[in-house]
Amino acid sequence: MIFNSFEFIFLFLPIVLIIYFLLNKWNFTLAKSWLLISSFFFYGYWNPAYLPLILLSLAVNFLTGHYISKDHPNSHRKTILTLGILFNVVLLGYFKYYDFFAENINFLFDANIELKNLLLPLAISFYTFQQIAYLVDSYQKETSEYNFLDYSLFVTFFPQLIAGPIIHHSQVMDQFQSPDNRRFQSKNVALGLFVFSIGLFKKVVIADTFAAWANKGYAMSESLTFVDSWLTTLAYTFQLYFDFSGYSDMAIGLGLLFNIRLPRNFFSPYKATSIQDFWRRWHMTLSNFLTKYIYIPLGGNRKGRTRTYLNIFIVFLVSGFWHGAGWTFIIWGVMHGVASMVNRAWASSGRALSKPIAWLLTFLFVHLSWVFFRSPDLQTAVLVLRSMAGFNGVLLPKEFIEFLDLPIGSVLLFRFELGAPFIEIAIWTIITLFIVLFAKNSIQLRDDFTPKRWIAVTTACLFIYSATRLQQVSEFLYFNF
Amino acid sequence: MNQSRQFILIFFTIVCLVLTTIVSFNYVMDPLWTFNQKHKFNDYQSVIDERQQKTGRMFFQPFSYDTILLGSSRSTYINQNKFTNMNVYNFSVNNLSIREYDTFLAFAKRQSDQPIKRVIIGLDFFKSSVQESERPVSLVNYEKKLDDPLYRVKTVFSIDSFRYSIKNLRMSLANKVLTERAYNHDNVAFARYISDEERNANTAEKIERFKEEFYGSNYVYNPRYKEYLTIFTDRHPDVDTIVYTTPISMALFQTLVEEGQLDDYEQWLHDVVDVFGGVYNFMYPNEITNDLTNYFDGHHFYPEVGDKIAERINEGPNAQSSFGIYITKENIDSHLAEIHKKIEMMKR
Repeated sequence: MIFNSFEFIFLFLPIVLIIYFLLNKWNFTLAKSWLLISSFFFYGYWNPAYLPLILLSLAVNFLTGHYISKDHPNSHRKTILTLGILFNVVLLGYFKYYDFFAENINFLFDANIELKNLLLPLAISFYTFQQIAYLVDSYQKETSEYNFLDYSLFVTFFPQLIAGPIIHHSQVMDQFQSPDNRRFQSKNVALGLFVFSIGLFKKVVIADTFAAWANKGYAMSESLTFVDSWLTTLAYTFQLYFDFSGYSDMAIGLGLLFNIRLPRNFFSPYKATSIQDFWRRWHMTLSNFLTKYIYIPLGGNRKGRTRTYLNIFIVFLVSGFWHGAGWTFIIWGVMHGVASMVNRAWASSGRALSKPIAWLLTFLFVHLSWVFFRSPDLQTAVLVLRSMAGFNGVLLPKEFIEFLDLPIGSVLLFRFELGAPFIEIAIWTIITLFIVLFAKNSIQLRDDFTPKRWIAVTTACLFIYSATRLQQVSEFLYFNF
Repeated sequence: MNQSRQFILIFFTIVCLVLTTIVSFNYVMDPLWTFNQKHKFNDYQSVIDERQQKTGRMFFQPFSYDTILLGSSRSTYINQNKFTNMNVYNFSVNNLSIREYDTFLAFAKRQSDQPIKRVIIGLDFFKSSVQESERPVSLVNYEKKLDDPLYRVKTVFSIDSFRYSIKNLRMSLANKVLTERAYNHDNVAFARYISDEERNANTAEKIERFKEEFYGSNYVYNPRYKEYLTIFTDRHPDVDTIVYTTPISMALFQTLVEEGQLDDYEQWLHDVVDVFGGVYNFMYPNEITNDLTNYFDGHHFYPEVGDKIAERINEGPNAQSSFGIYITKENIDSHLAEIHKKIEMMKR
């Protein structure tokens, strides 16, 4: 189930919420059990076949964590920890990366390993990371008070299950155990409705609008020229941000409805003036995880300059690979790794760029790197980048020339085919750029929130408009053919 | 009441009021034809997506017919009630590909309370090119939508449906077709009547588009076209088939000739006759196609012409008529020779 669906908003959520608070009046454990069962239902709604896997993962990790958090000999604990981490890595590796490795081995060694075409279990990348963190911290004896119900809820709590934020057990476990959170708290519910509505609007109205243009553009990558390639890639840059941050906002808002504060995940990433700054603002919970569980254990910046650079590179390589089993994601990770190393070297040289230039460089780099992130293969990425560089011609949209009444010959004109008029896409792009650069982000809005009447009215309008756009009824394009 | 409670109250009051209004209005206006609502405020219905609307109507409303009419947008303008001695449902939709006919008829058979005895098929020449007939398409995605138990509820929770509901209300109150095509409660389509000036402009634009998109180098007669027709007849041996070609204006027909598609046109008619044994041909120079006022864009005729097509089919293959000739293996060559003569005359 996804948040931006009729079933979730009008059926699942109200039922789960109402019964949760009713049960809480009677029994806290029962209420949490209800929340857990609801989360399993949420998870299995698309494909119940995924459920046994997540149940197995939960059981193995909880028992492993339980064992290594006790006073057993350190050597035993370390062995069990290693096995536990290995279990998670193998599980993720098998389902997410098996075919990738098989394809590459087949290519390199002319082998014939059969591909499994496995369906990637939903959210496996997220719950694997959360549980690895739990195991590592159990080894540090930081998790001894947890019971299976709270643990399962921490992993499967439906607002964060599918796409994060990646939560650390220490951020929510106390909240799941706190009796204060049993009560219906109007302050949290009001704030939750506010943040959820913003997220829903960002996803359904903004991201989905850009998605249509980005999809169309990438589908015709061979015929893109200069103008439409830039609009296509910008459409994706904005789509990805509003989609992912919108989803995170919805998760944060939903958490608040249950009195659970989830960590922030985005903080105006396109305002960043360096690549390091970008990663402090984009998918922050992933950055925190990679820093704490990969960069620091590798030695962080404590083992000399070369190792520091190497560690930075490894973190981004892992990040790229985590995002997807494909060379495009690995290249994307490598690009960010190299850029982060350059950024560090530049910063330590003591030189500084002016803020606008620093922003422009950062934005352009991030924007170009998304081309690899979005492209289904390297060939498409190269085609799009070539078009952006003008190798496919610098043609101007016919309507643009006509609009400005420029005396330019027909050689420079082309039919704009991204699915909407050039002017419309250009205006959306410019306005959205202004929004991401100058408007407050949803976390700032959350922190400044006061439950005023006009905000309630605005929130209701955002919600209604977005919720009634979930079921798009569109006119058939070829009306008269 | 504290501020947060007031916030929640305002939020839910507005949400409930507005959503109730949208849902109720959509339910009453029924723009997607799933609730069988028929009243004077929705007696003009905009075309949204005929596949979705017509399948919705067939699935959710009583449906009992013995004949199905299949065709593309031109055929939508044929009044299903003008056929005599048969109970026809016009299941024509915009941009219907030859490869869709099969799943359309199969769906209609499943929905109808009485057995489907007959199918009337409208064929368009420009749909016989590789470009327009090779893509595999079917009704399956629309059928899947109907499988969703919440489908109807979801459609009324839609702001898009709400916009169409308002459009339909406006047309119904004005008692006038304000869109290019609109339907009444009985699945009969109406066209908007336009000035000569607008017609000429539409026709010129359509001809230009056909030159750029459908005729000339873009047109390659699909060598598998006949095979697709045969697949259709093989899959539906239990129904009688009546076939006709849709009449386009001579302005557009001339473009077809100029762009070098006359041979393809002949090949197409030969293939149709080979598969079905005979076809009512309306697409040739005649009193209807020579008169541009029968069309609003040179390609789509007005419903009055649709009535004439129905009348001609009612008369049967052997009747003599100035509009519509039933061609078979016996007379196809003489008919084509006649067309050649008329084209020569038009050139002069």
